[in-house]
Amino acid sequence: MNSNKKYDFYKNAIYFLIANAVLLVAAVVVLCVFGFNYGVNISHGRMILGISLTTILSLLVLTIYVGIRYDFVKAMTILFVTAHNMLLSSAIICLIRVPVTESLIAGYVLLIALTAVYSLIMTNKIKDINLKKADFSQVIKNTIAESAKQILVYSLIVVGLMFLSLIAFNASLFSFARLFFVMLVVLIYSAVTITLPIWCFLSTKIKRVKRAKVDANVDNQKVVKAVNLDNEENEATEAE
Amino acid sequence: MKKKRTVAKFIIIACLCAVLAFLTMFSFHLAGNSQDYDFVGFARAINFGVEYRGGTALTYKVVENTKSSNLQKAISNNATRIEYLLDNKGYESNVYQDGNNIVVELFDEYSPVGIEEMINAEVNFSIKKEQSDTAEAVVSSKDVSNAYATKSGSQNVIVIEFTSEGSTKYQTLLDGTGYFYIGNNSPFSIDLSNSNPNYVGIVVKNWETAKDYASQIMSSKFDLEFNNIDTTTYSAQDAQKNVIVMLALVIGLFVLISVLLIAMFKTLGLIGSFAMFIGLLLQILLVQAVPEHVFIFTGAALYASLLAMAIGALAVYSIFAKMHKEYKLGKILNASVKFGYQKSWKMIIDIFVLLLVPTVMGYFFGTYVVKQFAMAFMCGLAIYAFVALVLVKFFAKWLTYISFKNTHYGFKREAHVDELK
Repeated sequence: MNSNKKYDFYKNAIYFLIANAVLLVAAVVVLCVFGFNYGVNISHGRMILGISLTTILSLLVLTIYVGIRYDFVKAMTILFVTAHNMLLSSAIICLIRVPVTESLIAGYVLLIALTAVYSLIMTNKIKDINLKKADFSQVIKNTIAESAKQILVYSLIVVGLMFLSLIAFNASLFSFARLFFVMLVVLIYSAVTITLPIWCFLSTKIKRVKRAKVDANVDNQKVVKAVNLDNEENEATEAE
Repeated sequence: MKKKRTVAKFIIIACLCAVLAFLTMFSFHLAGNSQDYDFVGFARAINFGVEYRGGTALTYKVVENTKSSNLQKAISNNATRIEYLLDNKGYESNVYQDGNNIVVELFDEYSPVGIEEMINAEVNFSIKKEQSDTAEAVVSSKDVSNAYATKSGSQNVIVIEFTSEGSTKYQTLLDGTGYFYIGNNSPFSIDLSNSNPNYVGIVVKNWETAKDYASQIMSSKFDLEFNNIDTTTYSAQDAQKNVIVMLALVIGLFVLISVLLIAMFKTLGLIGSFAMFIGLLLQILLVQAVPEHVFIFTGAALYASLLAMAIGALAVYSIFAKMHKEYKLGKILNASVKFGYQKSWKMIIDIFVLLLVPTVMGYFFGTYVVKQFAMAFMCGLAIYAFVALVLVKFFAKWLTYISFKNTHYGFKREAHVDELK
């Protein structure tokens, strides 16, 4: 593989992630400036505490599980993508003034679960590809093409059941449904555009770090050997 | 021999399944020697919410007359107190907190009267030296830091802990008998000599009474008012309509799953549908077994149950698809079923675990609606994980003993691939 492709691979991934990081900063600003539009009189502190504890503990357990079962690169990917999805969906909910109720926690529960499942599906498709030698754009393109069908089926089932339940029980599910529809849009967007760049970037980064560590050890060994040789030489001259 | 044994296994499972289906759908009367017994079908025994049973849902906005440091605790204790209060008055009710509101669901009650006055009635707690309504209270609700129900061996105990100021006041009672006035109940007289000055335990007859009294003591600490802001009535016809829609959704989804599986995988799909049917029966069995104070089947719970069923179907589909893939690569039927399952079960477990973890967390840290959603989803995921990982494995394996043609499985070899030797 020529060097240009390798260069494109890093460049594309980094630029893409920078663009998304900027988007996330904008999301945080929106969250801080606009705030949620509370649909009913809810105790905000309790809801925020519930969301925080659910999210933090879920992600902790998921990271450990995926880290042990697969690898920590995949676990970190799920962590980043979930954080991205939660921030972006919250910002959109703020921006379009969807009234928020306590069912927001149920929405986040499904969002975290589906993000983890989608990320696993996407990253499993490219587990055998040598990323160092691969063409980044082609890898992304192929994997999305392969897993898009599966993601689409999963999402359609979730949305279809939601619609059916809404038709049947519009009152009790409506507040949850309108929040979750926003989240689902972000979920599909992130599955298609964010998951793989983050995973590819983290995979190559970690491999780089590992190699750097080995190199450093080799250098250190050289230094130690050099010092030993110097000492031996000194001892020899002293003996003479 | 193997074929006969396998057919016998399927017949036994089908019979057990038929018995379970009968017990799920039908209720009947059993006459006994000493006592008659009415068996309620598992599906009817589910703790349905007010939208399915009919009744009235009253929403009360909680107003603090005096600012308290812990409004959440105040609302939660009052919700428990109101539930016991309504139960004592003969109402079948479900009371829960929704943000800063309290929702009171009264089953089979379409025009309740005087509920607001009942729940707004003042609750008092005091400990006196004499048994007299007019006697001065030595210790009052302000002197209590915490009150809760607990079990000590076989005894049900209400433990009342005092503040430092309350403890000082309480010590003046320790040389004789103390009279405990809790709400409108007749007072308890307890010999307090040699008891601990920081807390006191009162033994009561049953656990429900202990919880009722503890919630009354805690509620008396807070000065709250409940104003009705919304009343929704579900008539008997509405409830019946909702039940029909629910049944249509469940049966509709199951039929859709079965048709798709059978269309794609023929006999193997039929076996998959059979496993899904067992899953549905087990799901109903599990949901009805969850106690009423933990789980009420609401609209959100129905959505979660349907979602779990759909995820279960996807898991079954992906196992069958993997088996088909193995067959396409040239393996014989037995081997493709075996290796297809072996290559897919780990991923299926991962998906169920990834879905379960946030749901469990949501159950512990979520509010009422989230808890109902999470509980139904957990039950569903647990059952369909069992269906996909255990039932499908054995059923598919047994099928290979009685059905030897690839067309029965909906499997097709790729044109250029020969059977592997």
